[in-house]
Amino acid sequence: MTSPYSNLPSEAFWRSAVTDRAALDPGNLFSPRFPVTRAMKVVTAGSCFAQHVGRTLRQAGFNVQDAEPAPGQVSDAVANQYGYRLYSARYGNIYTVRQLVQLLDEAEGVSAPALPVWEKDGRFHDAQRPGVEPDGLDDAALVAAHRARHLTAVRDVFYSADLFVFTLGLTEAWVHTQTGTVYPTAPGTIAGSFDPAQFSFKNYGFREIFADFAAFRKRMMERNPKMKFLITVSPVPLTATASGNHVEVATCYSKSVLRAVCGSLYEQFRNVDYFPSYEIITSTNNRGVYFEPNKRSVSAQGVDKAMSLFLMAQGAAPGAAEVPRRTGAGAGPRVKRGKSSAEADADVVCEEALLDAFGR
Amino acid sequence: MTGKKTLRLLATGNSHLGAVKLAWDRLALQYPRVEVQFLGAPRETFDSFARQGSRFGLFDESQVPKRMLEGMKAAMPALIVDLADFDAVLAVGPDWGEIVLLGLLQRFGVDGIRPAKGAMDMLSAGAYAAFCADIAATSRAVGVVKKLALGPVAVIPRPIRSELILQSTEADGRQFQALAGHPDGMIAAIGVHQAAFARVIAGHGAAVIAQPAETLAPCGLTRSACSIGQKTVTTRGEARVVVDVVHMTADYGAIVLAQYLDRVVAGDLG
Repeated sequence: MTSPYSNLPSEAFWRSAVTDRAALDPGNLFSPRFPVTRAMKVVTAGSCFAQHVGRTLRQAGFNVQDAEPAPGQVSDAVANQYGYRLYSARYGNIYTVRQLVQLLDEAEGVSAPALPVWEKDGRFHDAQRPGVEPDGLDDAALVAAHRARHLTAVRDVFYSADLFVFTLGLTEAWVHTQTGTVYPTAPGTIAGSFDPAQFSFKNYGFREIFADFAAFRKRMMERNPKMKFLITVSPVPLTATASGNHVEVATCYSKSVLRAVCGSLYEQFRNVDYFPSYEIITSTNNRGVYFEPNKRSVSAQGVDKAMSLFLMAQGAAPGAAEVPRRTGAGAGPRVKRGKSSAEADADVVCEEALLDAFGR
Repeated sequence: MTGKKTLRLLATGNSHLGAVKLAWDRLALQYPRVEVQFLGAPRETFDSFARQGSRFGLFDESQVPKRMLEGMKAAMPALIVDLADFDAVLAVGPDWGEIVLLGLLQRFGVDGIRPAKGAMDMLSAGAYAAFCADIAATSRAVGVVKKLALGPVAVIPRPIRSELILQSTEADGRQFQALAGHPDGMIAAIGVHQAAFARVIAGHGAAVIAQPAETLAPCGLTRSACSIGQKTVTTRGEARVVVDVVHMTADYGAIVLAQYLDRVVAGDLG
């Protein structure tokens, strides 16, 4: 051997793996550590990019759990406005790992967040998910009642997971200074008001995030020792930073920390897999085309590319939801069946209700 | 429309048009300056009615069973009409998402309107109102109004199923049993959906003659007294007694038709 690099595969070399790769070819960036099967109960959570992950898995026929389902006939667009069908429960975006741990704490009755209700224009919002009721609720007691039901659903669905999918989104957050309660949005943005005496900026570091996720994993595995975890880093840059740095610099720092945490979690725990959605979307091979003109939102094309790669690596064709197989007497080519007696009666009833009135 | 000229109305719809026709037979003398032409068909056929220019009706007779087609031709003066010949149009019997709504209200309570019981989930009033608007917007009634919207259009939506359905042991009946056991707030919850439906239909330039609250039982189903109930039908040469929980009586038709006629005569419907 002339060099430790001489026998490495082509993916190990930038020229063959990136320079010579066709533009927009996502390459072979993902080799699953374990298979994700359609029998697995999949629970999704995380920052906004996780919505795409959940939706893609659902459309591909994976068993994505929904502990707080909206009525089936309501359109996705309207259901989504109220926090339904985004994740496995109506928790909205969970940007930080600390918030994920805090949610589990609250669901298990370990602790309760400080200042749980935020008010705006006489309407009351759940501070931990202020976006799920865009118009707010009538009073704080109602917010508490809805949250109590939500926490039951969270506990049930978390414990039921065979695969927990989490997208790490941010390191920056706003916390209640005295207690450390973390919020998904800064007070005063969707609801509430910002009081510097009560709230402070927090930029979670590597050790804190790693420890939080490791603790979360351990607690979940106490309920289901076979539980697996699939983690990703959101490729969506920060909307704003309170770090004092340029937002691009702050984004790079934030994503670097999250990516490093994922790498370490992957290295340390065999039931943790990492899916490189961040790398797929931000690769220089894409010339930025997977971002919308605001250079922040990931385009539908980018989402599709990333998730197609995931599905292909898992041996699942994109968009190919499994159709229940018909067996037994009903199997074989579809034929138009005749109407049952009850249906025939109903037809006659309708016909007579109309024509009898006209003195047929 | 308050002048002395005769008001020409088209009443068109599915099988629910029958109750309105029977009601008109009773009410016609009270509205001497109103002429009503009827054009109807059972639902599947009515759904195939189309508009070509200002003409509306059954353009493709090939999919209609022969016996039914003959019945329609004998009962209606024409199976294609020119909407321009009418001062206003009344669409009778399209669904307005009411069955979907009843299913929803068995699964969910609504803040301040309907308490959750047992394993029911809870919706905020805002989410419920938004869901009602969404369900209404995708109901068949919207498509019907769009087809007819050449002049003033009003809709008498399909009545809610009769409470007689609770006596049925078939799946249709079982699905509504929970309503009988937990009627709290049903009338108010239906009222929210009626208001949402009216807003959706108004967005298409039409008006709604909603099912009156007094025709509803506390559980939200239509009072049994309003429905046709038991009747004998003959299918495949065999006579059978069935309970019609879908269609309403002439009395019910008269309640909603009179509301419509009073408003249209007063010029209240565009």
